[in-house]
Amino acid sequence: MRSRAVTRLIWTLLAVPLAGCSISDSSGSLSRSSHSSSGSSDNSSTGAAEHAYRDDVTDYTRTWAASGRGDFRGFQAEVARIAEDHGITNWEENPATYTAIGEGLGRAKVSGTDLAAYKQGLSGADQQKADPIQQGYDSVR
Amino acid sequence: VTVRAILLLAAALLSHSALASTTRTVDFVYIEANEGGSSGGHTAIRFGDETYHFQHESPGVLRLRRDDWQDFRYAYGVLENRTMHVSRIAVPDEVWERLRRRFNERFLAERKLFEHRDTLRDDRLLLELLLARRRGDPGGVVRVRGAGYFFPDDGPSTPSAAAHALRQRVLDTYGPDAIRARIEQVRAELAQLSPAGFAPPSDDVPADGQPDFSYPFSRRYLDLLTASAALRALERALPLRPGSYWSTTDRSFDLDATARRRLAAWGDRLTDALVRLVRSDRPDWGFAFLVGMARLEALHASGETGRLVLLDVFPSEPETIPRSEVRRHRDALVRLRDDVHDDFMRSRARLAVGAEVDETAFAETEATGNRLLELDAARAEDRDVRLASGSLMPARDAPWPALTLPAVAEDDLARRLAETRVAADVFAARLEERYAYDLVGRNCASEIFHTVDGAGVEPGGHVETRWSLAFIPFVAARAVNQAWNVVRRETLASYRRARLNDMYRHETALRVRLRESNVLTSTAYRRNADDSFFLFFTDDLVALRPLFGAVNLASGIGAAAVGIPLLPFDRGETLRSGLRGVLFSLPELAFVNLRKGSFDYVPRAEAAAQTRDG
Repeated sequence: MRSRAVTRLIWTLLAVPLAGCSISDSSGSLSRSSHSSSGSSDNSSTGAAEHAYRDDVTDYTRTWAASGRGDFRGFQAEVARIAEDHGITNWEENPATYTAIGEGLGRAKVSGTDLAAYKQGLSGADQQKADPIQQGYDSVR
Repeated sequence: VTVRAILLLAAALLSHSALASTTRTVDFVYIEANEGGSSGGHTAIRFGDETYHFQHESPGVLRLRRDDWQDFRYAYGVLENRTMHVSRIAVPDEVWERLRRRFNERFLAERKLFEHRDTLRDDRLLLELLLARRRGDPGGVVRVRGAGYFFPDDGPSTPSAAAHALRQRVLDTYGPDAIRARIEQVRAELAQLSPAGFAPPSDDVPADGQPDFSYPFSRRYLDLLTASAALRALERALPLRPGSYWSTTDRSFDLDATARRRLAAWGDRLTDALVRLVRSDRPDWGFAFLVGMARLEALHASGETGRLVLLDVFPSEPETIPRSEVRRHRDALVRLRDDVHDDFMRSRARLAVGAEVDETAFAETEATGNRLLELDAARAEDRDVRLASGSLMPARDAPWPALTLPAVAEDDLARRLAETRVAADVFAARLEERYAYDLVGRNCASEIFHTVDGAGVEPGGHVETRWSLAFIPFVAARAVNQAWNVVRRETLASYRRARLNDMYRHETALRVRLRESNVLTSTAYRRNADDSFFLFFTDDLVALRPLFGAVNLASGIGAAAVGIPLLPFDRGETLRSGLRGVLFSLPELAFVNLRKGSFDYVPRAEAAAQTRDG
């Protein structure tokens, strides 16, 4: 084992200049003034943009639900943050939001009983929000 | 033999169609080195339009980044002029989805962790401010996002017609005292707000999975303050502040009758949404309301003038490209402006299709319009160009000195402040330790493999990272080709190489070689002030590389020598360029090429034509 470690060390020293990886350029560049460089994909069509937004909300919801925690305000604040990345302020009335939340809950495999609790907490008994949550949940079950 | 060939062909076709129906592809991308940001190469993994890659950032941390593939290709392959080697890996649908999800969830989780660091800092600053106020110090302000379109209020102003109509709708819907009552409700909650009602500040950096930090005190306080600002702007039907929006004479912003009708219809729907938002229980409704109300006023002005009026969406303290840089790249700025204009016209065209205008489509027009107007204004006024590193969301903030002091004892505030200070420091240190860049153990290549391992599925075989050299980007690419289910390998030429390939098709090879071998006569490359000083390109030459490298070395030394007397005049620019030229010529003496030249700007259409790929 020690000889392998020594060999690796030697190789490492030789290879150091070859393993740099990209360093982010924090200074302003002209190209950045034409395109955003953000966490969100710069999707050129509305359909692709909505798909990217839904993926993010679904993925976030899945891990949030899988962790078994229920801070609904914290959850809403994070959804708002994700929506902003995709150019959306009115996420509450965006039809994709609650469907994506339902999909995330489905992918986290929450039980029917837990789903009812999540629906209550996230929709506040508003059927226009609860229904798409259910639809999203059903679509991946 | 013929029958056998036909059977083989049929089998191949069948297997291909079977493959196509059940598999998808992931691309592992190795990007060759260049001088500057990455002398060791770079790696990325691509799922459809999305590209994930790990970048070395200040203060010595490695962060996962997500970029649109075309943007990534443009940044690395065109501007940085680096050839990419793509290994296409076929995986079953389910494996593809689990890998994509793993990278995306890691991206979202990581971003949340770094945001929590900022939240703890905000918590500390707010508690310090509230404590100072409690002790009688009237100084200090907080900044309220979105309020900058209406505040600070400079005294009596003519109410905006659009805001006036919105206020009337709210009053008609909820009653004549609705706004005042809501203001009182928000003020009462602010006065009752206590840090003790929120979870203690967390300094825990979760090992894996999505971190779940609770909604913090500072966020709640600022959300309520923002709601208060929104209600005050509505109550007084405040107009947009001068300088917070663009009103241009550029004919590209003209609206025809159809565009005016569609935007007016969106304005009506926005009004309905804003009326509902006043009663919303989402915690951040105030920000959405301020942005919506500001947009409504801009839409109203657009309808009246027949020309698109847009909010200025750049943040109050934006990053900028200094005026001196703008002057240095004047030609590039002109070409950039053409591209941005095309983007704007495309986004405007999208506003005209579909059943109706929605927020996403409008936001895109708003963002591209802002970029265009900013470039024009910077050029006309000979000033710095503002940039935004995130999405261009209207979020102009305003100082807010009138703070409601929560009914909390001074000792309680001081205690929570002390806890928050400790938590903020501990968390920041732990975060930097967890995400520290390590040349061997944690770099752009090794983290791709670690993330794939974390998905619990294999894209073919396993790439060993513990006792291997797979942390070196080009070795990593080789390991992928050996271990994963690579079905196709492709080289995407750098921009200069692609242009040369095109020239070889139309001119004699010798002529192209001679002309394009050096920076003086090259037509594919124009001297970029950001590159080190050199004369010969050596990336497409191997046998002559040491010879050309020696010439580059000598020219670098010469430039550095010239740079010394020029020091007082160019602030060391020539000297630095010469010294970097020397540094990047040295590997060429040993047949190693790092420097390839780069481009300050290449028009998008031209880049796409030269570097077309799947």
